Amino acid sequence: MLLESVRKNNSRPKTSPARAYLAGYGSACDAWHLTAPHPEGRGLRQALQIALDDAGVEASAIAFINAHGTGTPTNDLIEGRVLGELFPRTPFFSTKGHTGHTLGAAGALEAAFTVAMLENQQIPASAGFHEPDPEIGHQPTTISQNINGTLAISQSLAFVGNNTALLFRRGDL
Amino acid sequence: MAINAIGPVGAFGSGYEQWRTSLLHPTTTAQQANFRNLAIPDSGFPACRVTTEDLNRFISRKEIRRLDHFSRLALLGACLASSVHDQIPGGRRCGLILATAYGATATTFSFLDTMINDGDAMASPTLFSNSVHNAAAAHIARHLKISGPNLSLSQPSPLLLPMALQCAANWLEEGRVDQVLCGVVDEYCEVYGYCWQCLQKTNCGFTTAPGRVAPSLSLGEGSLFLLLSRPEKTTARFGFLEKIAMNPKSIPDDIMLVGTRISRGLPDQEGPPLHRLIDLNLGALCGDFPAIDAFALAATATILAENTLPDKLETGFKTSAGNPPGLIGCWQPWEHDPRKQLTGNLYWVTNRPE
Repeated sequence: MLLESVRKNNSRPKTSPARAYLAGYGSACDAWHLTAPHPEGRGLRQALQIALDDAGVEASAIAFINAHGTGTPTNDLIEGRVLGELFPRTPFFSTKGHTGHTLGAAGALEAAFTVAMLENQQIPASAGFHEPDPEIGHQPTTISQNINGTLAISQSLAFVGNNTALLFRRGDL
Repeated sequence: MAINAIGPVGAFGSGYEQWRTSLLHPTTTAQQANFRNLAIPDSGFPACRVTTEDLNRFISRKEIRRLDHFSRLALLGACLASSVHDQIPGGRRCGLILATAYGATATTFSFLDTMINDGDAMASPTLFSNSVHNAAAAHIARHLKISGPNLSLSQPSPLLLPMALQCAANWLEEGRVDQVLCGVVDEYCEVYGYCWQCLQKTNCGFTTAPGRVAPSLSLGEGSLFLLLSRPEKTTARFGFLEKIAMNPKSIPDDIMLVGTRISRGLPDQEGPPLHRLIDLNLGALCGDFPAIDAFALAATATILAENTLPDKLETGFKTSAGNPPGLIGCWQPWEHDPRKQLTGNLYWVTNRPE
């Protein structure tokens, strides 16, 4: 991604249009366990709330969420529950079914996908997802669909309980 | 940023008192021991190793039984920096930054050895979990209950320390956190020692890179954490870090500078004039390793806080009263580059906040 600063009065320093704006971000640590997420998703909740506050928007304004979605039982259980509680009507999905887990590159790659999806106003199905887990009670997208919105979140949950949420606003294109 | 506490761990010992005494009143050099070099039999060479027994003052042996040496080094530095300030860091309003050039190298190579020697099925899960690059920061966060942003930086580069400090400054300025525990850690391992020895003697198929000065000191290891906050009060125990500059265009003529790299063999004509620079030769205290840059910055803050210069200074700047001024620069040259006169990092530490 090529990033440019935005002046405080929101006028961009150059005349070229932006594909998207980073409206806010949140980062928090579970401070809980080396390999397992906090059972209530404490750090993820905190990171999401900070990102929303940073951007000055409500959860209901988010058009979609590009979840971490590793497809592992522990991650998906905690992440799915948190999203179901905080964003009950917001569609979410994982792109890892399309790319595999690219580890250190995953956060950046999925942020780029999120920007592209905001541009195209379309989100994908979660590749590889077939059967809802009743313990989660909330399921990702199963078909590609159009969306109508300007804000989206891309979140990454790392080993050792690091959680980060990037909140993008659709750009000028 | 206000520097509220320093947590140093090195061959000189651990904790501020041992650090201060070793820095300001050096009597002997660090304990050194010869260590076997895997590639060169019977060619032991000195390395300044560190014990982390003091960690038991803060955390029970049971709790840290699965931590590797790198994580223990980091955790001890973090605990020391957290134990001396009146406001103990922790919670969601505290951030954590851990910077390292090479990370848990001993653990990483040991993990690979278990796979190479005995196959995937016998790979050690404990070695694996400790070899993950942000494991040490996770151990610190868990034990000190720091649930704010948690960042691990891994880069063998002179930009490592300024990047870590600038990130801490950004978090504080944006109001994301009220405190940042910011540290640099590096450990000794046999592979690193082997490479080090090759650079010294250039007899193992390696040659010294063009423009790179071969190391001349003993290898060391250690960690150093700073507890930082916004400069909201008029005083801070170790002063205020006012400026973080990479490749500054100029250095004011009248500023006193503290540095370390002259003793590493950099040419005299590089950087600021020697008469303005106090060369601390920290390698004599704890050996040389990438994290030594953080120790130089801590030394600058220590000199300012104690209002005294180290004993036995043979060269360098001295005020007429023998005391340091209220603003000290810390100068850390990068590798030798004859094209640039001021290739390096400059930090200003002052007891007078703006």
